[in-house]
Formats: sequence, structure tokens, C-alpha cells
Amino acid sequence: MRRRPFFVLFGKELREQVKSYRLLILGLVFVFFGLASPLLAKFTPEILKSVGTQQGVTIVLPEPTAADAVAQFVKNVSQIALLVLVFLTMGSVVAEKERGTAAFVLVKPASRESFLAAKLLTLWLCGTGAFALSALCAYGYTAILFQAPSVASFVLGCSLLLLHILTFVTTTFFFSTIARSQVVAGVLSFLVWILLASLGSLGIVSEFLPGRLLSASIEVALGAPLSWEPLAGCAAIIVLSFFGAVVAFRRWEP
Amino acid sequence: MDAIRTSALVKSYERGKVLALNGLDLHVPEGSVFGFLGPNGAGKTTAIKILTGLVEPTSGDAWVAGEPMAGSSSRLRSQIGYLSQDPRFYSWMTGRELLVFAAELYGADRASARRRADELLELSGLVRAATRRIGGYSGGMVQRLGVAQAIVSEPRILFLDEPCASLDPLGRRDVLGFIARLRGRTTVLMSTHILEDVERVCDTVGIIDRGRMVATAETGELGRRFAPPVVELGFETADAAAAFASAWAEAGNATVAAATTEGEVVQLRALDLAQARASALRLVAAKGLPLARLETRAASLEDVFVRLVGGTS
Repeated sequence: MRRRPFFVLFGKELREQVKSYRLLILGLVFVFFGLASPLLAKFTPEILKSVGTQQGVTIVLPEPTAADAVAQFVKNVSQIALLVLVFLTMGSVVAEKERGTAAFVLVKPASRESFLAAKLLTLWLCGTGAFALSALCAYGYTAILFQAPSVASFVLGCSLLLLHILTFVTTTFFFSTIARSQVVAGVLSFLVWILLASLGSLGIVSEFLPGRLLSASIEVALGAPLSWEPLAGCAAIIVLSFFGAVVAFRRWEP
Repeated sequence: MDAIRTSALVKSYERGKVLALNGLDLHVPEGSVFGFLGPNGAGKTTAIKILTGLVEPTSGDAWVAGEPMAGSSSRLRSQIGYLSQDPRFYSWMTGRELLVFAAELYGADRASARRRADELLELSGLVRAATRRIGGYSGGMVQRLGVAQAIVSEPRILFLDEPCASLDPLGRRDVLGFIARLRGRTTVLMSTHILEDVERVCDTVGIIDRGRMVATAETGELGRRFAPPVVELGFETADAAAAFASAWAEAGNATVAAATTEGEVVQLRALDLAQARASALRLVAAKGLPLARLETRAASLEDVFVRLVGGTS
């Protein structure tokens, strides 16, 4: 059966993620934080207490709950795991431009749009898969060590966290398309990350920023209602980043 | 009919400060093997990149397979094959995977893509390396894989940018033989600066210099049209050759033919062959110089090339 160029490119991207061990690394990092987060939430107070006792100091900490486990999971995944994902994303387009493999593909009947779309979809799919595994581990350990949160609320909360991750993956992808080197793409991505985080105190604007999804994901996972503003903000950033990448890539000359 | 045509094609960089193509007019007849000759930086690669849709011209027009290049549709790209000057492929793929991937991008189904890949591996002598990662291939193997992927779709028009650049003599012979076999079925535009390769396989030659076409003709005709024939005198000693050259200039014969000396050999590029030959023989006899041989020949492609672009290469 004949396949459209997009699906051929998509298949190649998936194979590349597997053969270059990027998918494996991503999966391991996310699973590690999925497993470690509830454990850290559970045992950190006990470790602190025992350290305090050894030094003759009494440390009084509240009993950890499922909310702490979820908060720890959100914190770990939104920082360290996302950092790894950004590292794996920052070279996705610029590395092909640098190596000359992009030109090899683009003289064939594959459009520049499908070249980009296949890459972004693969990054999203790998990120989502790794995150889903991580969330599954986190839920299981939270249920074992604490009290199981409502499945529906936990899934909804995790979906918000995933949207936060995919937003940053897409902005990194944009910078990977416009930058001349992987380092520049990575630096620009982190600068935007920091910029968006620092805009958190700007009143109504902060409600639309991806960072708002982090607190929302903890609240929603534990049963709080969902607000639409950060969803709209992330959707806008994703759409603008992708179309910005398409416009820049159409103009790129090898 | 022309398979490739350009009209006043211009490509500039850095806001017009660097002119890669300066009004290139190119005509490549259908079914021909066209040698695109020029010194480094003449604009060969830029022209090929425009004709393959990778780069947009600053101005001018180009047609490939009868279609205008503006917009460079995927239908147009499905009719061309391309080998870049420095081919780079996915190092994690095997040779066979790359050819299957390339065939599928041209719309082949998986079974026929695999069949075609196996044919091309055989043809390019890469069967034994078919399941090895490309990252472990030698430069020559990558080049042969590059030629194979360029013809994976049996294109109407094939662009080869320096196809023999990193090949050993045997690999070069194979690739040139392969290109020669495409004559009549596929239009081949082959850029190179190896004149011998052009003389071996190309039926038409275009010489580009500083972004402009300076000569186009059939390979055999190029010498006759663009460079005078050569009278070559071989002396027994280098001193004799030097003495002849100096006497030739003193006698005011430089207007008849320019003389160049290399060791024991003096070459006269003659506008009037008979007059140059007669004058040379008279001078040899008058000076009593030990002449070993005298021959006349048509100008070679190298003579033409040096004459047309010698000042810039």
C-alpha cells in the first residue's frame, strides 16, 4: 500500500527515536520520577525527623498526604523531566539542517510542512507515552503509600501537566527550526521558559500562562474545578509556535 | 526540447553584495548528459539547488521538465533525482533502509520499495554493506549510495553535483559508466570540475564562470568553437624549447600564435594552423634546434576551459 510522504516521514521519525535510544532515555527518566515522587513525599519528612533527632532537634512536620505526592510528581516532572525532554527536542530540526539530511528529504516529493509536522507529532507522541507511563507509576505508588486519588481527577490533572509539557516541547521545536545551532535553540527555549515563569505576577495575564497549569494540575487532580484560561494560553502558544516554525522553514535555504 | 531551461537567473546573498548567479541562461536538451563545468565558486551548486527547488532565485525564471520552478511543486520534485556535492544521510539507517525510505517518499509501496532497493544495492555494489549502518560507510560507499538514492524513482531528470568527487578510480569508472547508460532515457545534469569525466560521458557541455554561462556546445564541437587548434613541438632538451620560444617571440610570431613552454614541449595556439606550422618549421631550421616531434591537434576541453575561465580559476 502506498503511503503519503507524511506517514513515511512519521515512520522514520519513530524509528529514529527508538534506534537512537532517545525514547528509552525519555521513558526511563519519566518512569524514575513517576516512581520516586510519591516515595519522596512519603519518606522526606521521616528522613528529616531522623536527621533532627540525631542532632538533638525536634522537627515537627505534618503527616504527608496524597496531595503532597501529587505535588511532588508535578514538581519533578515539570522541572527535571521536562528539562530532559527539551534537551532531546532542541536538535530535532536544526540538527538535520546542520547535517544536510533535511536537504536530502526536501528534494523529494515531501513538503516542508509534512517534514515539520511528522517531527512534532513524533515528539508529542514520545513525550505523551513517557509521561503516561510516569503518571501510571505515580498513581500506583500514591495509592499504595497514601490514599488513591479519584482516577478521573488524577487523569484530568495529569492532562493539564501534559499540556504544559507539550507547550514547552513545541516552543523548543520552534526555536530548533529558526536557530542555527542546537545550543542556540536550547538557550532560547530556556530563556522563554524563564520569561514566561517571571510573568506569573502580571495579574490577569498570568491566568493564561502555561505556568498556571502546574498549580491547576495539582488542584484538579485532587478534585478542584478546571479553569479555561491557561488552556487557551497554551493552545495559542502551540499554534503560534508551529505556524511560526512552518513560515521560517519555508524560507530556509540549505 | 529543453528538459531544463533558465532565463536570466540571478541569486544574490547578503543583500546583493554577493552574486552567486548573475543572469544564468541554461539550456539542457532532453535525454542528454550535460556537463556543467566551472571553477570553484562559479555558481554550479547554487544553480542546481535552484533547479531542485531547495533555493529560491532572487530573480529570473527556470523550467524543469517543462514546468516553471516557481513554487516547486511535489509533482515536479517527483520527476527529479538529486545527488548533492557532499551527500549526507541518516547515519543510524542501514543502506537498504535508506533506499527503501527514499523510494517510499516517491510514493512506492513497501514491497516495490524493497525490490527497488535491492536492485540498486546490486547496481551500486553495496549488497554486502546493505545491512550495515551508513555511519560506518567509507566516503566512496556513501557516494555510491548517493547515486543509488538519486535514481531510486527512475527520474526524468537527474542532478548530480560532483558525483565522482570522493570516488577511487574504480568507483569513478563505475559511476561514469552508469551515467553514460542513462543517456537517452534520463536527462542528466552533472556538475564537475574534472574535465576528463566530462569528456568521457557528456554529450553537451556548459561552462559557467562568475554566475554566467560563458559557453555551451556539444562536447566535440566546443574545442573548435571556443579555442584555436594547437601545434605542439617536442624538443630533445628543455634548453632548445626555451630557445625556440624566445626566438618565436623575437621574430614577432606572437601575433600568429601564442607560445607556452613546459619542459621540452612548446605549444602554439594558432588562429591560422598552416601559417603557424610553416613559421615554426622555418624557425627550427634557421636556428638549428634539435626537434624530436611536431604534431597538430584540436583544442582539448582543458584548452577551452583555461581559455574561457583561466583568469578566475
